[in-house]
Amino acid sequence: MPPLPTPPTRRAFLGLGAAAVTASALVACSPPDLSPVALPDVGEGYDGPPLTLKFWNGLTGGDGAIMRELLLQFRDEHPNITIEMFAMPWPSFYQKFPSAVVSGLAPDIGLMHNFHVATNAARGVIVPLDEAADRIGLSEANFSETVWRSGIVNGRRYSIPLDVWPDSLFYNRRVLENAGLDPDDPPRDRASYEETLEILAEQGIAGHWLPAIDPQGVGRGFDSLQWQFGGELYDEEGTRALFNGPEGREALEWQLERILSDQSKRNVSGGDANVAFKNDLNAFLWGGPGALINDLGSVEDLDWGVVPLPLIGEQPASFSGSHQFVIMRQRAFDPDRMRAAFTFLSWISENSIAWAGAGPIPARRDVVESPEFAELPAQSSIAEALPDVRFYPLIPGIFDVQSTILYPALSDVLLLNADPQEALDGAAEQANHLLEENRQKYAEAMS
Amino acid sequence: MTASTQVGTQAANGTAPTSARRRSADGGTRVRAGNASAPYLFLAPFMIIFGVFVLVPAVYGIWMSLHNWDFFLPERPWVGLGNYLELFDPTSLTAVQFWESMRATGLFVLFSVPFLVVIPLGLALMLNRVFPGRTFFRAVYFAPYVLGVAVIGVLWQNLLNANVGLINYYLGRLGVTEIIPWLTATPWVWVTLVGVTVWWTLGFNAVVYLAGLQGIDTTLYEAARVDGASRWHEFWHVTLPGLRPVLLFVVTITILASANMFGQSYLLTGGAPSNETRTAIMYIAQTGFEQFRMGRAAAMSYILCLLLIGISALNFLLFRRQEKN
Repeated sequence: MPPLPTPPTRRAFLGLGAAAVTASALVACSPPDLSPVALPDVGEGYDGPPLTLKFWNGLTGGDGAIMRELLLQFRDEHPNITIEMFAMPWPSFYQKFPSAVVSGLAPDIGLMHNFHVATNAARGVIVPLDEAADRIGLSEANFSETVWRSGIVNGRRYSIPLDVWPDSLFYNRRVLENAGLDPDDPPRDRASYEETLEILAEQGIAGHWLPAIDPQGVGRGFDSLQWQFGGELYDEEGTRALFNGPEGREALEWQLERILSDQSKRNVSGGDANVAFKNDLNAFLWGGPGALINDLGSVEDLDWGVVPLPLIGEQPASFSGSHQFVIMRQRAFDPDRMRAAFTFLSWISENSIAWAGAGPIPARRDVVESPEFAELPAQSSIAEALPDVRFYPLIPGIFDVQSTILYPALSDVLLLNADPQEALDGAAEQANHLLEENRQKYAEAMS
Repeated sequence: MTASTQVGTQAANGTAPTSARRRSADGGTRVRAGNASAPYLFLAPFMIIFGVFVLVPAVYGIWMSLHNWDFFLPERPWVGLGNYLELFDPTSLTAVQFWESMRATGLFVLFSVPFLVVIPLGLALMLNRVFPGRTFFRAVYFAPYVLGVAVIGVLWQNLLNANVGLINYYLGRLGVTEIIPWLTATPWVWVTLVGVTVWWTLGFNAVVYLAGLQGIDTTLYEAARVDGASRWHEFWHVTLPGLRPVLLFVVTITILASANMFGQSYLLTGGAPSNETRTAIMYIAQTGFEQFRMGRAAAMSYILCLLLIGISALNFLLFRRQEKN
């Protein structure tokens, strides 16, 4: 009789299974290939068989509806190209698309904020577009200079700007009028701005609610102000934080003063100022036109206007963002799909006047100078500020430094828990640490 | 008689095992070999799922924590225990922020667990009594638990907002002139986070207690009453001992759930003020999924995990010692 086959022991069974699965998982998770890519040499204009391009972005609000309409219009004019749009909240977009690229499921086209372009360029998940821009005939001449340059990282172009949205001063006409002020003449300089706030405060109205919580809302006002006072957030190489200089302190102290003198409410969190503005509780709102023009426009009975930020410091400056198109890295580039994608980029750039309806200012100069644009009162009023828009420096990982270090420190001060200079110094030290870590982390990818 | 009922009766009579034993004694090798691997085959589907979704990620996480790991960069340099050592280096920014977030987590556990253990128990005792409409009330108290954290986040954000929230508005009408900063200043942030969490999750513990209460032998109560025990004595000497295993479960699971708190502070306070309410999980998520410093985030989560294993073990020991006493 042959010896009995011994059944596997429990331990061996568990071990075997785990080992097999681990091995397969390790193989699946090998590092991504970030070697330089050569895009196929294709021109613009696609006349091949029908195809569908995948387009990912974070346009989940009213702007998404306008983008979808544009896509339909594009399809009418290019029946053989369908663009399938996937919108998800911006934070998930920035988490998900790199994974999609690494696992070979990359969408064809993406739209992202300019301050994330450098980071994703360093990751190698988006591809350089210098030649592509040439081929579809876009150059600096077509765009306002700052915006066009905000797509260039390390001397290479990674994105094509769609729009730009400088933080602007939204004012509530009814509140101003009720306080005995001229609703058609919002304050444009420091003296008149402070005076207006004081007149409002005397009547018990906190005119300008300064957000103290919520990463984006808290920090952008500070960014604009310290630029106005002549400061810089970081040095040019992106290795040192400079926001704790005298200009930064002055900016933060000016903000703090608004709160201490009851011109702003205390403990204002993210959307409060917006809600208050819509309910005629405050007079001024600093924010990006991309979201606000659309949002405020949808409130019936709200009487508002918008102008560039007042000049509080010595030189005009306003924080700005810009939506920019990128092409995601593919395992293999299909010339047909590339051609279709370029066709789309070229078309939407030319037709970006329709996009202005969503609120932002189109990035293209000819569109901004067109008579159609002049008919959009809010958008054309803030377009005045275009020469003075400022962006975060184009350093990989810069958004993390801003949102996890600088903005919480500002929040501490505006919640009256910290001294401005101490908070800024502490944040600068932490920021230097993170900047250095980022520099090391992305050094190889950027070399 | 059909085959299946036959087997059923045999099994019921206990004849089947006897005959099987006899047969194997006779040397029925084929049957025996088949039997040996059968349990493993039954286990296999679970083991595969467990392996792929729990075991492998866990082991892979240890591997990641030994590297400077960014999923999207080709270079993932080996740093050995560097990520762990850094967390114990008091001069490192990461360590300071990590322990700050661990402190927030610890405080939340400390503040919330007593309420989450005691209030649902009281509620379960009440809902266990017979009164009209008790099923309705059971549903009412359980209802918030079915909501997602995003929903309760938005809901309470609107209610508790300092300047435009409903609660401060009504407090104002009641004559409270001071604006209460529910979401932006200590100690109010803790009141908010604990209060919202208790409101949101008490239904779950209450249901577990209810099940436990219904498992207690009613004759014990009758005996106690015959002996002249008061209501308090009944609770202390019959109900509590009867609930001991349920209590152990509730305490352990509540500590673990509270230590994993993320959504409430992410959505309500954003970690403010001064990162006081940024919990460990929130910081780990920020490091791992926003900054993509995954090696470091993995190291942090292992330290949190070890701590929680320690606390749970301690918990079991304490309960067991009490049981012996």
